[in-house]
Amino acid sequence: MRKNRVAVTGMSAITPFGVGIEIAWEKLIKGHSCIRQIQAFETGNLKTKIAGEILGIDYNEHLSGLDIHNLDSCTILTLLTVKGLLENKDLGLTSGELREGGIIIGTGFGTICSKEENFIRVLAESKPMFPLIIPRAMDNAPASEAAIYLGLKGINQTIFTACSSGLNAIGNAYRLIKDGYENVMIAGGVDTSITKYNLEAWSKLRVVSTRNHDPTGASRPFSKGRDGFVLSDGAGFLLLENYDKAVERQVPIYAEIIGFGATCDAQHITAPSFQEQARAIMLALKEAEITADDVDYISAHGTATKLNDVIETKAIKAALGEKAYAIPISSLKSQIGHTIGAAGAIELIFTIQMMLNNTILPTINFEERDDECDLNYVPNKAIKVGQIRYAIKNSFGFGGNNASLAIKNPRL
Amino acid sequence: MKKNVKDALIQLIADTLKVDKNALLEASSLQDLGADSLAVLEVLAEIEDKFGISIPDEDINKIVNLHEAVAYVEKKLEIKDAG
Repeated sequence: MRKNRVAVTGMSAITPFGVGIEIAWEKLIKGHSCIRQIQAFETGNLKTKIAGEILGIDYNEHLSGLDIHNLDSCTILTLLTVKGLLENKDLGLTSGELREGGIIIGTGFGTICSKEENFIRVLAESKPMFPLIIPRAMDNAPASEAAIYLGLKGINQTIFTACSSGLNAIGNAYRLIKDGYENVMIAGGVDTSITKYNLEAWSKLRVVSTRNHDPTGASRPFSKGRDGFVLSDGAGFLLLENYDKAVERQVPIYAEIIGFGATCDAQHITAPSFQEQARAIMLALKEAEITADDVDYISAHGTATKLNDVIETKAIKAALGEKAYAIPISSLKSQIGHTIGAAGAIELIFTIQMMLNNTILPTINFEERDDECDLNYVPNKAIKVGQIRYAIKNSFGFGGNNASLAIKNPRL
Repeated sequence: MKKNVKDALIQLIADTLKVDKNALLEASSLQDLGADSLAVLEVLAEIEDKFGISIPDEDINKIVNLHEAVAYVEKKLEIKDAG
């Protein structure tokens, strides 16, 4: 059976740097961090008092006409991000073509803000619950509201695989187009999970940074002395299309998705296994019909927890052999923090930006080498390169959920 | 106070790990009682909440078994009281 090729024809992201890809890109190439002291609530006795918050956006203005007071913050961020996806004048997608499409959203915590707010209201404040809490807080609300907003009549799904949710959403959407079930898909991830209780819960697992005195230096992937990830909010969505149809419309193609690998450790709920991470990478390479010699960049999961960065390093070496030492690898979480279910999508978008700009973004805050992290992590400064032909994006989540995606430069 | 700390820790760890108190007294490490990395984190969080102390990451290795936990908590409480 003939398989369809899959093109990326649209990208949109909202990060703590602001609304849009360009605003973040300008900061990222300069090696800036968006991590700050938390503004949204009193951090009190919390061990961690820093995060990557999205502040200063007037959602009512951006989404005028929508009744956003009955929407969760995760849904609002989703709507604003997918709105940005379709603002590209060159897209040329008819409303009919778009309506046949679907959306898959990956999220780690979904509508946690509304759930928390409702429980505090009922249990702590003895107030009646929000009347419309079900449609606001059901975890498929962001995908369903996005479908209503854009009129998407195709497949509508929400994927929860913790920190690999966003990349799994994209991988699954890629497969639907490749196998001929859909021609157009929106896929990506979103999380707005910086709440007092969620942050405290992460602290109990001892995986979040407590470098409160130095917010911009707190996320230190692969560097000795790292003390955990920094929680951030964010959303990233891509428009995926049947490649041939995109060519017919003469629309700009940002990248081609050519391989996807997904595995599960089936071993421990939080401790990762390098074997299954490596297998996810190898499955992506196999489907892409490329080898380690073809890969010019790896966007690491790179959370900056003590365990993740060592295990991911071992996985990359197991999957790519000696070539692993020569391939530039960076973790955008050093600058953006960890947007959980959005991370895979946001980091894929900026991997594509790197391809388009022949520039590799750095792993900032890299101060001292860890003996167990001995690859080339592009420390601290972006580098110009001749061309990134193929790139790999890794995302690994609690629950042992591993995802790896292979993309191809459309100029090849 | 010392007896109280020890008794409270025996109860806390036995309840958290669902193990026999006598087994806890004899075990050379919490791992010997079947505690995996997550169960150890659960015990540490329960100790922090129960005694109102903070256990930094670099101190985790100082709390390998019941006796070390007792000594650690007593010392922390002394510092806290002095402060």
